[in-house]
Amino acid sequence: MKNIDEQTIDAIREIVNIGVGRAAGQLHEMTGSHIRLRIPSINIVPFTEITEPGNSLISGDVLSAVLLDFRGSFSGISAVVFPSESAAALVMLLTGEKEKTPELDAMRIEALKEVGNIIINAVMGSIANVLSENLTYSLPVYYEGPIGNLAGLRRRVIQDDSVLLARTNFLIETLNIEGDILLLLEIGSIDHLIESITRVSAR
Amino acid sequence: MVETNDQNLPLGLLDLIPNGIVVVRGDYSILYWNSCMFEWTGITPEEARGTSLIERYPALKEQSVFARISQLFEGGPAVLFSSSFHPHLVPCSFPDGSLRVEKISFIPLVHTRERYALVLIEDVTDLTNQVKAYRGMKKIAEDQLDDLKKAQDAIYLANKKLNLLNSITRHDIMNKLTVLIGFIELSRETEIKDPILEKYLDGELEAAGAISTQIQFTRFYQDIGVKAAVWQEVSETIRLIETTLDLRGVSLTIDLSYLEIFADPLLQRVFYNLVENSLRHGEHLDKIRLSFYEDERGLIIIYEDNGVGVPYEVKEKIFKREFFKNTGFGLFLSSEILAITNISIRENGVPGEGARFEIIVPQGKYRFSEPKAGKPEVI
Repeated sequence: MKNIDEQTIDAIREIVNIGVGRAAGQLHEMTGSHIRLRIPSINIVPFTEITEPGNSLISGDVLSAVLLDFRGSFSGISAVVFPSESAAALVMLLTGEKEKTPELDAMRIEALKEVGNIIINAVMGSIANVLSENLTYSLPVYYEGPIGNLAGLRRRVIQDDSVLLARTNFLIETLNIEGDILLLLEIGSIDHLIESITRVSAR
Repeated sequence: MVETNDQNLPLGLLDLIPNGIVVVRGDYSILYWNSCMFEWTGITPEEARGTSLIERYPALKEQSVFARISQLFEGGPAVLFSSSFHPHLVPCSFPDGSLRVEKISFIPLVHTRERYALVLIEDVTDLTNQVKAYRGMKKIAEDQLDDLKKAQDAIYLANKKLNLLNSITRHDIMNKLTVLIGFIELSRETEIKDPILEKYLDGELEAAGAISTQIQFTRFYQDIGVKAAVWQEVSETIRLIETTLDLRGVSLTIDLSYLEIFADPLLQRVFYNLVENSLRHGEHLDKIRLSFYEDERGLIIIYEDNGVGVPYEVKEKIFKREFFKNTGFGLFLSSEILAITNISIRENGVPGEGARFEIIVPQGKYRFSEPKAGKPEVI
C-alpha cells in the first residue's frame, strides 16, 4: 500500500475542507440551519475493505446516496450519503411537506438528487478551482442500500486496489439530520493531486 | 460531460427524442432548439436560435439558479433541477394551455474546446400526478389505520373495564353465595325435621349450586376474544392436554402434522373440552383420533372417539348454553372460541359407534408449516 506522509495528508485534508466548507454553506442556505462539520478524516484503504458487507465505514442498512464519478489528472468518486431517515427528513424540510411516515418516493428521490447535486458540485467545483484542474464528470446517480454495495457498484470506476478515502460527517443542527460527504480517489491519481497541491502552495 | 470532436455538433438526431432539448453557448445564446421544444412552447427553432435562453426564461436568472448553471461553464459538473423545487423553470405547456411539470438537467458539452450546455427538459407530469395520487391514498390509509387503532384501544379499554366489573361482581356474588349455601347447610343441620322444609332447603341448595356454576362459567367466557388470534400448531396444542388431563389409558392419535390454524389463544380449551367430554360421557371408549381433510369449505379437522356417541336429538343442543346441565358449558365455550375466527364445529357421529366432531376451518385460516404428509402421533 502506498505511503503518504503526514504533511501531504494535511494538504489533502485542507483541500477537501475547502470543498466541504462550501458545500456546508450551500446546505446552510437551503435549510437555514447551522451546519456542524467534523474535520475530514483521510485514510488510504484497500477498496475491498469498503465493499465488504457490513463494514463499519458508515453504519445503517439503508443509505441514500448521490454519486458523481470524475476523471482527469486525478480520478475517483464523490458522494453525499445520508441514512434513509435523514434523507427523507431533509427532503420533507426543503419541500415543506408534512407526513407521518415519510418515504422516499420517485419525486422525493429527484429532490434529494438535486440536493446531492448542489453539495457535490460545491465540493468538486472548489477543489477543481483551487487546483486549477479540468475534470470531466459523469451525470449524478442516486443509490439506495448499504455502503458496501454502493462502493461495489462503482468498481469499474475505481481501478486501483487501494483508494484514498476522505470522509466528512456533517450534522444539520436543530433538525438532527446527519450525513457524510465522501471522496474516493484512485491511489494512482494521488501523485497528480499532490503535484497540483504543491504547485498551488508554491504560488 | 459529453465531448465531441466532430466539425459540426451532430444535433439533428436530437429531434427524434421525445424530451425538450436545447443547446446553449457560454453566453446563454441558443444554438439548438429541438422539435419537441417547438411542440411544447410553440417557438420555432428559427425563432429561438440566437436568442438568450435566460432572457426568454427569467426564472433562470434568479441568483440561486443562475449561480449553479454558470458553474457548468467554468468546468463544473452537470446541474439538476428537480420538479419538486422547480416544476416550471422553462415553462412548457400542453395543448390545453396547462403547464407541464418538468425535471431539467444542464449537461456540459465540449466541442472543439468550446463549452456548451445541453439542456434536457423531461416532462414528469404523469409521474407527479401518480405519486401525488399514491400519497393521497397513503394518507387515507394512514388516517383509517389511526381511527382503527383508536377504536381498538377504546374497545380494549372498555373490555378491560367490563372484565374488571365482571370480576368484582362475580367475586361479590360468590362470597354471598358461599354465605347463602352455608346458611342452607346450617338450616339442614337443625333439629327441625319437617319433610316439606327439607324439600325446600334441597331446592334452595340446588338453585344455589346452579348459580355458582353459571357464575363460574362467566369467568371462562370473559376471556374469549380478549387476546388477538394467533397461528397455532394444532398437534402441539393438543399434546399439551396430556399434561393437565388424565387420559385413563385412552389412546390419543393425532394425525395433524404441521397443521396450523389461526384461532383465539384459548384454542387449547376447545380440544380439552372435547377430550374431557369423551372421557366423561364416552363410557367404554379406548380410542380418540384426530385427522383432517380438505374440501370446498376449507379444511375439516375430524375428532372421533369409539365411545357411546351423541344421540341424534341432542347433536345440535350440545352447543347451546342452555344445555350446560348435561355437558357443562364446555362445548358452548368451544364453539364460541372457534367462532372468533369464523371456525365452526358440529357433531355428526353415529350414536352407539362413537362421537365424531367436525371442526370446519375456512380458507385462509389454516396453513402447513411443513409438507402435509406426516406420521400419526400416538400418545
